Amino acid sequence: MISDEIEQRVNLQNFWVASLQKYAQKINSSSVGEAAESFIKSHIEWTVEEVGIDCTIECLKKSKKFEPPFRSKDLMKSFLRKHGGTNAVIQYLEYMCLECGPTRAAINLNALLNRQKEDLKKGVEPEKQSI
Amino acid sequence: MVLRQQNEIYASGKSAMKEAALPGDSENVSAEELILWESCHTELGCLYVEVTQKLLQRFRSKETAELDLTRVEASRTIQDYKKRMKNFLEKSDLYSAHHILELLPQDYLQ
Repeated sequence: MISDEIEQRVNLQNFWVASLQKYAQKINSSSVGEAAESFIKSHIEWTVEEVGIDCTIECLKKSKKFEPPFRSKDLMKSFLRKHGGTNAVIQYLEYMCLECGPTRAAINLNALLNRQKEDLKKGVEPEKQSI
Repeated sequence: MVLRQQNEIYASGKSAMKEAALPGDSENVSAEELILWESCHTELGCLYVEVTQKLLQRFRSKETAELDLTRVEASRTIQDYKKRMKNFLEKSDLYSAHHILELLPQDYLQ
């Protein structure tokens, strides 16, 4: 009896997660900007109670992280905070900052390499970097 | 209070970036984008502080406002946030560490 109930809950959760992932894919392929943001909110709002904020964040991770809807303050602060509290916002920001985002060291290195490439194109000998 | 301090940190970070003006920076990350990332990292740091401060309130004496460090050390939630914040401070280089750490209560930092 109990195992049936557990199985039912797991199936239901898998169903919602799969649906949410489909929505995320649809957002990426069709809607843009504010339309995408409203779309995400309206569809996640009714699934979040079923799957919980952790699964919702996992689904959000499957979408384009750098595009406007996912960088929206409204989505991040208001929506995530409302449904999952500060911890949900922290979880999402940890993912954005520590797993996806750039580091200053990488940006600087990239800038240095770009400058060296440009110098080589111009025929100028690249400056030697002092350590 | 914390919110006001957070806003000040954002404002100082943004003006510093404008002054720095990053010509010829990475092809992938523009100066504007970098400011966004910086505020994202700063916000995360400030949120750690906000949560930690709220949690610490539970371990303060109502009469003396003194922090019970033994209970703080024993609190799994605080230790978890401490670990996550430490990880953030080690991995990220897009925030002003001292600004964020200064927001934490002195008796907790000692």
